[in-house]
Amino acid sequence: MSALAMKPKAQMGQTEIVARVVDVNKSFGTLQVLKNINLEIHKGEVVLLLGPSGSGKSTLLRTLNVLETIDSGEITISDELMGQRVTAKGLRPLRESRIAEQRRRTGMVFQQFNLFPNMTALENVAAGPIHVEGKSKREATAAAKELLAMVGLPDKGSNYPIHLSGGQQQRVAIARALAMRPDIMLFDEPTSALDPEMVKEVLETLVNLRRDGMTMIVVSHEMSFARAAADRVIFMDAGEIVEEASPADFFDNPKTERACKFLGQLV
Amino acid sequence: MWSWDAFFTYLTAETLREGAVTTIWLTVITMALGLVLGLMLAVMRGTRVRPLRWFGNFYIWLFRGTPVLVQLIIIYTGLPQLGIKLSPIWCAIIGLSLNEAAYLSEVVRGGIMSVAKGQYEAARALGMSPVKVMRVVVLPQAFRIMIPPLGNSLNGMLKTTTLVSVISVEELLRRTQYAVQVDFRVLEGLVAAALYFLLMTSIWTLIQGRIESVLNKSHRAAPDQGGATDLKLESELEGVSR
Repeated sequence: MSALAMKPKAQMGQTEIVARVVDVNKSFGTLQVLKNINLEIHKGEVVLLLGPSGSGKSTLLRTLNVLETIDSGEITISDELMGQRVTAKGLRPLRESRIAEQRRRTGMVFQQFNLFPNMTALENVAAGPIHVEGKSKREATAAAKELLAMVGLPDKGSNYPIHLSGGQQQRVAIARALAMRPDIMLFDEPTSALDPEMVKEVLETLVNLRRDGMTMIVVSHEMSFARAAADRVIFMDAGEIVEEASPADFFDNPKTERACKFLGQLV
Repeated sequence: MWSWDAFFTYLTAETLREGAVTTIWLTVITMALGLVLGLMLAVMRGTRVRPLRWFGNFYIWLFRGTPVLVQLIIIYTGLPQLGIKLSPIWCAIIGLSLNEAAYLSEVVRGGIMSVAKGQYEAARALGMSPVKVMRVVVLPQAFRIMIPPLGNSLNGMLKTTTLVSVISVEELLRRTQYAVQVDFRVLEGLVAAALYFLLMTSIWTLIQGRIESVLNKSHRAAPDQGGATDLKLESELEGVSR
């Protein structure tokens, strides 16, 4: 742990680990949804999580910011043990208020956007800094304006979510997560609820984020995005990581039968 | 024989006006207290602490299962037997608030339950503590949903306050009953009182409409973007209140 505590500089790139998942298991009742998951995500890396529905990919993503708790194992984000604390009797769950603080390290984007409908786009983006970090309204609003410009919506700040298209809502949601300056962004099927013509604008936003060096885990079935922007593809099935490869290797030469079968079903 | 003279005399009588004022502030106070108690009950019923949950459920079972008139008379004429003597107006405030809280807790609970699970998750993912999630994200949205059933309850309360006339609180009905005993123009007097109630409930309907339109500004959708689902939800919740 002491080696990890000394943060390497960004230019060391691939060597700095932002997220580490060690021997993670989770069950819902008798159904084991995560089976001994091990994973390391490096700084600036874009990882695509792929797999059939029910494979555990969304659950894995949600364990990273403790929206789901784990039954055993360890998850570390930027050297902080998430959701648990070390005691003499082993690992114990943290209090919810402490977990809330830890979640600032991660930004999450949901399939259904989940913007706050009673707030304007600008208020949505400023909500985290104001209500979580205790920043002044003026400071948070100024920063929120910049973020909205960054996702290509400089003039939509005063719109309520219902007056935005799905693609615009999702970009506001991305800006809202970025406002907390997370170490890693978690995308849970960010384009699955979008009309086809809006998928592109959201994926472009993700590509821009990658260019800025953001570390990202993306649960998605967007092949074009995977090929263009992912550094690594992780294929899950039945709660296990089945295959891990570069996008080109995975899509053109899948090694496992399960991956072949899955890819054959994709259009 | 109907006397227009007598009717207009009652309609403009100061004693009825004063009675109406009592009716209004009694309504406002009992609704406010009932809402605070109702929020507490709703929270109790939502906790994992079993004794609190049991208490909440017991309270609602008790107060919704017995007539409010019986509750008022117990407080006013029954409690003195145990040495607890309260003035009529306090009995009215306590009795009506305690009873209303049982109904309003259901309205609050319905409002909170109507907020989508994704809203909690988005708020938590931003790093909000459980209290912040409630205060910043859930309750403001729940409140918007709660306005129609709350308005419905307030309308009901304006009229329910007439019950406290039997424990000698001088609200509008009691004042009218006193007034008609002078010249026995019972019909004119009560019709005048009924008009007062109609006026009060009508004004409230206008006020409620204003509140709703302000709170709904974030939900006023362009015609093609839905919003119909919201309306449906609200009308479903209206049924919860009584």
